[in-house]
Amino acid sequence: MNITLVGIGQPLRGDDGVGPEAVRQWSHDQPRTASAPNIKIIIIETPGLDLLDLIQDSDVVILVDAVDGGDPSGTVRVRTALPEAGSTPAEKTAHGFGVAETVALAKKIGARLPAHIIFIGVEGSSWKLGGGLSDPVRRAVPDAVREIQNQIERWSTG
Amino acid sequence: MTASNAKIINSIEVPALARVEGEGGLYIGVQDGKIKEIRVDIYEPPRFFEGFLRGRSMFEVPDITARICGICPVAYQMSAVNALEASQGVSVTPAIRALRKLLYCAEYIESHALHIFLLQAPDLLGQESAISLAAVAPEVVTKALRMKKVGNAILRVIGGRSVHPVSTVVGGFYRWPEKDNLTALLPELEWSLTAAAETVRWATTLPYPDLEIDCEYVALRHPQEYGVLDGEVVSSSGQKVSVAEYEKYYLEEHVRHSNSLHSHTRDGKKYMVGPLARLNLNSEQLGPVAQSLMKELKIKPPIHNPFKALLARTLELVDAYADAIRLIKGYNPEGPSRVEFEPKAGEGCGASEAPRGLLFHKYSVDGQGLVLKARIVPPTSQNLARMEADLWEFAPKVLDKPHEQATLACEHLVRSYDPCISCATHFVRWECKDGE
Repeated sequence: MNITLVGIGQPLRGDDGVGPEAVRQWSHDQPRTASAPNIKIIIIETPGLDLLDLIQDSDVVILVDAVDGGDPSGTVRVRTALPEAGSTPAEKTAHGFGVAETVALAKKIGARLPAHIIFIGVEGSSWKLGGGLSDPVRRAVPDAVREIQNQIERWSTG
Repeated sequence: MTASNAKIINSIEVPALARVEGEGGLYIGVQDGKIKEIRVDIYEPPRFFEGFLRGRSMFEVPDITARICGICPVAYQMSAVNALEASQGVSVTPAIRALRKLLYCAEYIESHALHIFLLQAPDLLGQESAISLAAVAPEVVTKALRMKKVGNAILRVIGGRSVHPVSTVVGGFYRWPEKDNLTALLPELEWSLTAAAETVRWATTLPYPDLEIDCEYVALRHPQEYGVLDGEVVSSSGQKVSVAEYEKYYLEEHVRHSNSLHSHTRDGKKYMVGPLARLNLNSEQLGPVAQSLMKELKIKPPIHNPFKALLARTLELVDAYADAIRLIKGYNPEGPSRVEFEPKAGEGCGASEAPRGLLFHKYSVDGQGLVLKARIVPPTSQNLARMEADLWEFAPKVLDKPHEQATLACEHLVRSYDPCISCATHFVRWECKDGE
């Protein structure tokens, strides 16, 4: 299985930087797995619709991103179904195309998509410019890293 | 938001403006059938990046400013290097300038293809979003994504990656890209040029709302080419000033209801920047393909309908593909990709034409090349006052429509400016309340 791991978010915008941070931490902890030929790692700030180009050729894509979904800050959730298009906050997307909108658009036009899209969301609370990760989100990074490892193990052997 | 068709409209509210970068709200208050108030509220502390840049090395500036916007990072890089090179008295070689222009073409391709098809076309075709447009016209969306993709590919070859390119440096580029990697893109660029010409024809058939506003237009003008990378600041009033004099003629002020500064000319006029301003001021400098399309379709600037900025974007898109083809065919990297220099204390202004309009930067640096002061005037800030002024003209024309339709029409007008509110103030909320 070709797996693409994507950390999405802007480190300059507070908790939005948690996706890149978790993916970097996982790559640091698991250097051998991270350099395996079937695993591609992407860190990207605001991919918008370009996300499609980045994930299209994979069998499995694992997206790690900050979410604003009403859970306590630092909650890590793994989803195999993306949130409804339009339900993610517009300010963290490039002209309204967040992950959910991009995938919804791709489905509507019959574009090629990975067979499995896994979404690891870390609930954020502070989106202040230049603020860095808030304490609850920083404390949640190891949980997100563990979930990345769980998913990589699951799909590498599957 | 609820719509009551039976009730007389007493306010138009757009709690979260869709399909614009950032978040904002628009409030139009109506009393006795007359508009009493039009307001753009902005909450986010503006100018964060100007503070953030202070004390940083000037060589970090292009990479930091590129992060202001995921849609127009190249514009932020180019205005920054123009200003910093001016502060150092550095001029780049023609080869570096040509590669910068190619990088800028890629950004126009990405940004304009996105806005034309996925952000504004849904409004004109009666669709609520690009996703609903994809359901009824998947071929339009598929074409848009293909046209956009070649822009990403150019950015990736020159910039190292497609979203926030990292190859630009004060003085040039970290390295020359491989010619073969660029020439490999020519077939797709040729296809896209043909698709873009079709897009111009299609754009002339769209049902634009009626609105004629003869306002002041401001854009860069270059003596030899359609002004994008640099030039002098010209206005439809006839005024022509250097970029270094920009601040004397184009002023910003705080308005009570907004955290974002609103711009006006020295004599108090609210002016427009962006594709329509560029087309109206510089259309004769577009390349031969765009010229022949204008002739064929009888497109005769100046165009005074802000909704028709889409048409200007389609012509610029044609020009961007044609120019990219020309620049790749002529690409022959020779000599250093970067002009080396020792940092010295200085101050410089720079501007370029972001897809959304004129983007001005000014920096002061010390003898070690550290930034003492930064000033950034984004296009959306300059257009905010114009958007409100347009709404004062347009909103009365749609007040008799059902509430939802009137709201959408006003939203559409704002969206036709392709506002990047994140650039203007970085996270904006447009909030609306019911009228009293």
